Amino acid sequence: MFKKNFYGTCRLIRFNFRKDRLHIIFWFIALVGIAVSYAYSYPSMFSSEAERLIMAQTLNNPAMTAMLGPVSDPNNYSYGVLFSHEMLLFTAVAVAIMNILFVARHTRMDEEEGRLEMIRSFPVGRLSSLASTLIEMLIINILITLLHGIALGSLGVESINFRGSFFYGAALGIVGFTFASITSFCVQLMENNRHTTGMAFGILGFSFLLRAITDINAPKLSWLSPLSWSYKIEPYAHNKFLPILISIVFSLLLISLSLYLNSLRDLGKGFIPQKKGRAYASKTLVSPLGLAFRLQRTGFFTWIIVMFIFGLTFGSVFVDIDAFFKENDVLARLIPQDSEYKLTDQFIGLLMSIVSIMATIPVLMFLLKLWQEEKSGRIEALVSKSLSKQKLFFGFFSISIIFIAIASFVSVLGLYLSANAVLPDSLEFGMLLKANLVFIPSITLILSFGVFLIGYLPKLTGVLWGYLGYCFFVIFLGDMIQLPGWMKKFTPFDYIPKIPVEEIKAMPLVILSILSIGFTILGILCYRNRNLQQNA
Amino acid sequence: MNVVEVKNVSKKFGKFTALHKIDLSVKKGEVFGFIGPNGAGKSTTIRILLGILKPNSGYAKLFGMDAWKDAVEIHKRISYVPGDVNLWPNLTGGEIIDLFMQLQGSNNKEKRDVLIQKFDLDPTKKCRTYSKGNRQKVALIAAFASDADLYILDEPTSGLDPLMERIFQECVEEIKEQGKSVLLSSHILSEVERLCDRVAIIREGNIIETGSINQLRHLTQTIFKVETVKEVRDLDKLDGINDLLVEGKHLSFQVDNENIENIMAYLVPYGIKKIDSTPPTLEELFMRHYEISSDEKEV
Ligand SMILES: Nc1ncnc2c1ncn2[C@@H]1O[C@H](COP(=O)(O)OP(=O)(O)OP(=O)(O)O)[C@@H](O)[C@H]1O
Ligand SMILES: [Mg+2]
Repeated sequence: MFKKNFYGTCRLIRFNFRKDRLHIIFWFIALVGIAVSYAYSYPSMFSSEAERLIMAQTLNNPAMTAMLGPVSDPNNYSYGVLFSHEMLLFTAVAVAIMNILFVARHTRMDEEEGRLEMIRSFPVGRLSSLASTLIEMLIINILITLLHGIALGSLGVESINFRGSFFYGAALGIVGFTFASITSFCVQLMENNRHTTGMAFGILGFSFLLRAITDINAPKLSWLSPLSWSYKIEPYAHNKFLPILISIVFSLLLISLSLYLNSLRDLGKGFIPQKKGRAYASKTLVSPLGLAFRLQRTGFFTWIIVMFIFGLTFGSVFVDIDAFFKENDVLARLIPQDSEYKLTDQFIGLLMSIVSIMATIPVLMFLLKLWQEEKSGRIEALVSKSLSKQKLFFGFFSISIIFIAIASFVSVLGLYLSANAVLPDSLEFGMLLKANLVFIPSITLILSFGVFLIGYLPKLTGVLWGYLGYCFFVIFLGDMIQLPGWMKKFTPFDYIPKIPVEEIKAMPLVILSILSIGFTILGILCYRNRNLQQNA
Repeated sequence: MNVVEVKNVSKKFGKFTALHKIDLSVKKGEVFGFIGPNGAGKSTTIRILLGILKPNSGYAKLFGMDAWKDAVEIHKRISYVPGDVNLWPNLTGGEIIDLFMQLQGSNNKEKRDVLIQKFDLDPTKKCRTYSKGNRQKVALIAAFASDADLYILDEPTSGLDPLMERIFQECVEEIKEQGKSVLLSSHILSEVERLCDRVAIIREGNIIETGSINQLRHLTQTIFKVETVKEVRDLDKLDGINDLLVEGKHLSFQVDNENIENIMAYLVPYGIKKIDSTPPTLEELFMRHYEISSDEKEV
């Protein structure tokens, strides 16, 4: 029975690697490259131990704990500890995303598109497809572990030794594989790829929030979030085995369950059945805006909720900041003495820029959906039915614009509600809203880049994600890790006045808005003049 | 021995019953046609044969083995082509053909190259750039290049141009000469008529007819065009005459096959000068069955 169910697994593993070779190389280079270049620059950034200690205390506050996880060893803030504190959690999230995408693509997507049916018509076991994907992911995650261990360890940076580096790599590997198994479970429940990745990403987001909240208030409970297992290893400090063990046991249980469920269900089915659709198009579906909305309805509402929760989380975290800073002498010195503003106020600007970068993700997604639809050839069918390309474009574009407005409001609302629940009257709603709204021109600028690329070079739209990642990286970590100032100048978010500390300056906002409009118009002109592309 | 043996198979999707206790058999060395309107249950039946859907009742056996339990063993001896072939966009057609052949366990490079040439496929292109017809060719080439005993083809020619369709038919005939069996589901009735020894018609999950095409024809009507010496009278009073058209001494009508004898006997005294009979095409046969189902629905 065992042999029958897993027949041909080895062949499929080899086949998977052949399909993925480019993706894998890209991920490996990106992950290891960033880690290595980052770790390598540490000694030059923080030459004395005193500097590191100041850094440690800057990072050891609730807001930063929520974002990065706790400091593993505040008394011995070596390069290694500093490095893993700053990089580990976010890299682990990236590795988790990679695992989710790979697993969903090889299992549910192949199943949904009929490729698995083809594979299953060969002498291949019922469970071979799932098993081969999971074994592939196991190998990839082990490679990630080893590559990080070897690359970081051989840098020769003080305290970034081989032992710690292998544990650092393992921290990434176990989170990755845990999310591979979580995705394999989602595959059994959901009938299509979008729902599968949606559920897996939902679990990832929830894990992040869960650990953010519990790390601050109840560190013991944060064990419940698989993401916390990464920094609970405490690489370069205590190099603990327990989280590795837990993740292995958890993954094995989940995988057994997935395999069992997979053996029960019919091909193409999930345990959560899909709802039947409507037989007739409702009136709204027939308009371009209605169509654009209908196609992304679920995503639209989900992201609104995500933005709200995001606001809530931030709000609950950062009111503690003031109290925290007051107790801390070293940090008190860091703040300009003559500053008439409270620390919380100074954090609002940073916070709002992060909220705005977050909001840009769905804004871009809603716009780029147009290009996805075009690639799949569905736009062609629509455009030939008396609907002009431009009208369709404006449908998708409007969804993005509408989302910007709603997202600002709900995230600020979330922030306001939770901040005032913790500390009554600590923040004014109007001020928060203003601090958020000033970022809108930066979001529209990135959106207009999207429009421009869709019109001019649609194949390159993927670059925008890289750019957004860059923005996040330099805005969020730039000051903390003392990146050169010019790196920030390449992001539209840096030019925005930080309310309430700074005055509203009209100039940058006007310039960003003009640029946004310019790129948008240019993009629309290009889009109008180019042919629809299919199968690109 | 029957290569395919389906007994009493039902399949439910939730509350909806896609197959109602169907029986089916394909003999060794025959090309078996499987026709029926959209949504009748052809692909569902085929998926049960492939062991990727589990029947709710009854059993399906291929080569005497159970389709669900012994899928791996069975699949070593079959080749399958679906009607809607989706491939991995970042692999080339050639790579996929090789992969499919490897998975199936065959390695006939020569046959593969000949077929690629015959079907006029560029195997170096990435699958994302293939048209529907070209993707279909990839699956067909892989299937015909593999060494199987049974070929299961589910609307294999949807998307092929007439030239390629002809080549497909040649390939099937070649297979048949080698004594292999084919299960062919198709909407192209001329194709079925040309290739198949026996046909089953399925409608709304029930097999309503099975038999050779000639047998099936007996169930229907034949079209006659007759020229007589004397004018024929009262022909419309006879049983089994339909669509009668009289133009002086030229007649055209359809006869239920069981009444042909009577009618001929009636006509002989009028002196038959010329007679022309056409058997119903499969299309008409099919339409009749199809229409019955819509009539029943209206009632
Ligand atoms: N996975 C499924 N879930 C629910 N219903 C299904 C599923 N697969 C098929 N059906 C239903 O079962 C019936 C038979 O479908 P099937 O695909 O077998 O038809 P078919 O004869 O192959 O039609 P076509 O000629 O269009 O290919 C249809 O009504 C279809 O909607
Ligand atoms: Mg079908």
